[in-house]
Amino acid sequence: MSNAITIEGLTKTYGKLTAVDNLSLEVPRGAAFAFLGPNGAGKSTTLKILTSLIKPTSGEAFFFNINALEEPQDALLQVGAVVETAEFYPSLTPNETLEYFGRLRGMKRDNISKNSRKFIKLVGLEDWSDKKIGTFSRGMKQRLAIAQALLHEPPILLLDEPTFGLDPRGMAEIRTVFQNLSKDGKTIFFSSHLISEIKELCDNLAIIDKGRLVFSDTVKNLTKKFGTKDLEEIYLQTIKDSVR
Amino acid sequence: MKRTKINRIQQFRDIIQFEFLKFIRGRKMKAAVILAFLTPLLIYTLPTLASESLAAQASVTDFAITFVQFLSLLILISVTLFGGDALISDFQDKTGYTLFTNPISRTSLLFGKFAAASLAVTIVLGIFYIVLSALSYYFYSSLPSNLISSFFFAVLSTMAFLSISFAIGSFLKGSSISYIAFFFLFFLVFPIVDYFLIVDKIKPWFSPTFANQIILYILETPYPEDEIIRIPALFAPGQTLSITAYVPEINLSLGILFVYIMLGLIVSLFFFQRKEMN
Repeated sequence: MSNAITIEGLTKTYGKLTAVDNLSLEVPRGAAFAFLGPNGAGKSTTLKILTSLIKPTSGEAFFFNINALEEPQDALLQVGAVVETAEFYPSLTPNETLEYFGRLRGMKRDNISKNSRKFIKLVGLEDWSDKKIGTFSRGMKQRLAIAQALLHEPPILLLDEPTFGLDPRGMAEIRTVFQNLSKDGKTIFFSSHLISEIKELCDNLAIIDKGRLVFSDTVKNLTKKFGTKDLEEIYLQTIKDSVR
Repeated sequence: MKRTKINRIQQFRDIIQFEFLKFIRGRKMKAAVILAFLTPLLIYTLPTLASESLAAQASVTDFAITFVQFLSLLILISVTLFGGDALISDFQDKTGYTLFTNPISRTSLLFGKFAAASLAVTIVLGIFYIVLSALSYYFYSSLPSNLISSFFFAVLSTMAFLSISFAIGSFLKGSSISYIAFFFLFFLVFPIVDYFLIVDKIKPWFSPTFANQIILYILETPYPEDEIIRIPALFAPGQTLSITAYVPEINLSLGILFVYIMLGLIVSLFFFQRKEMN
């Protein structure tokens, strides 16, 4: 299986509401893959299923050749994730939080220590690494969430609006981090509402609406198909067509 | 592609360590420790204010029994503090969005949280018994003979109550409702059931609040037995009413508390494994 992520017929229903409707998607290895859709389209639900936070009603999902639903712990070893608005234990510090999560992942202590320093610096929290998280702003927690997702240097990153809560400078810094990770061959699968962010980061794009996949292709093919390089126009056109 | 196997035992140890660290730094532990210090001191001081000294009791055992009578309340408060929201907080406070995206075993998490909470409550109980021992030694130059056994049974009772509080928390969504449910069960349901069974002359041997009373009776030497007490009937002059004072049997109560620990954990695990982070 050459894809980093494979989703097959994924469905999640809550009573009569279908949040994700028979979704199938393939994310190639090393792709920077944007997952786009209006509010309530099913993006976060899909990411929650992939990270074993919720169980699907039906369907399958794989990271490489590991079944994410049948072997969730093995699958999560391949993944670093930022889902929803990240919260942390307020009485712990970033260093302690990363040590805890690193140990849960079976990382060696010296590796945890080295990577904690590296990624805390990367997200700009080095002056706050020994301060209790209870005093942190939304943006600082988001930076820590990104550091914990990178801690074990996973081949796949699942990111749900990763720059949410960051100021413009922070957003630019974090985008650079993701661009560099993408260049290093990591697979990045992220949802975002920010078309500008997607333009800068992604080479593949999938649009989802009402739980259904509207289309999925490379950005290059899409711009050719729609005759415009404006992703916002493509997105709005697609959603409009989907509503009809 | 890495395929490291997760060591559940190691996860269990790490969870205990970090859950306990959270307790130590949190307000709940500080509140419980203060209560554990203050409770025996208050029990001693308040009668003194009314010119009645507890130190004038016939024996060190009677002196200790007076204190241990109030221990159930401290146990219930501590269990509520450490166990009431243990399985809810990660869902309610959204910390689960980061915790559960790690390859964590829910079984290790549940047992780790249970062990950390048990350890925290054991420390609280330990402080109560240390203060009681210090007072006993100060006034009587000796300690009650079965004080350590009483402490052991108090820890066991606490674990049984914690296990029940975990079971309640495993299927509820909010910590407030979990606290209320636990208090309702232990301050109303179990005591009322115990009371009516005793009135009907049925020994409530299966009740955790009844079995819990061994922490008190174990201090008496010899260990007491069920006793029929005759009291004058209020509305029938010259007649008496008989009430049976039931005493929990040690081995049976040990078994009952152990069963509650196991049952509570099994129920908790069943629901906790299925709980989703919506």
